[in-house]
Amino acid sequence: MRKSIEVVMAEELGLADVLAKGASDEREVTLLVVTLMMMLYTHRHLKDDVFITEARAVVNGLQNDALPLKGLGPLLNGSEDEATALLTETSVMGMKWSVQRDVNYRYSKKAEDRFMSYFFETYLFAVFGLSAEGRAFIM
Amino acid sequence: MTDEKGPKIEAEIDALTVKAIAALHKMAAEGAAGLSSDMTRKLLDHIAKLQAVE
Repeated sequence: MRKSIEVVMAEELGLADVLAKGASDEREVTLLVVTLMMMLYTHRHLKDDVFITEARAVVNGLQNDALPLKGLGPLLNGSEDEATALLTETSVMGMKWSVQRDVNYRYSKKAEDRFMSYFFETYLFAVFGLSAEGRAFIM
Repeated sequence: MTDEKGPKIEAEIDALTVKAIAALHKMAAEGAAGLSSDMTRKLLDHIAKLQAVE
């Protein structure tokens, strides 16, 4: 599943450079991939599909690993407790499906603002809104 | 979708996209993206390229 998502991101979203090994932090690439995976499969959030359980395991692995505190930029400026608190507030790290599901199924201005407080989610929406393919899909 | 709804939806997507891009730049400027500066820069550069194409 991850490979398929990476192909979509590289070819359709033009993110080959971002996904290239060595070009970015591997952990961040993983989080970006998992974020898109969650977006595509928000309707499957309770199904425990294999790809979801695998992604959750990856995310849990990142949380349990001491390394994720490295490479997360501003998180490093705070204490470990603060960083951990921030990590659990990040949708992907906490697998918070509600961030993505609320704008789809229980839309409100608050849900919209919450969604747009998460960088990867907001980024992927902006890519969608700026792409001819995204607009053609809606129209 | 009816023709009359098209322009309205397109305008809404435009407004949301503008809001999203502003939010990205705000998060990046405030260091609230939670990402390395390298990743943040790459993603913002990608957005800028898409805006240039648009």
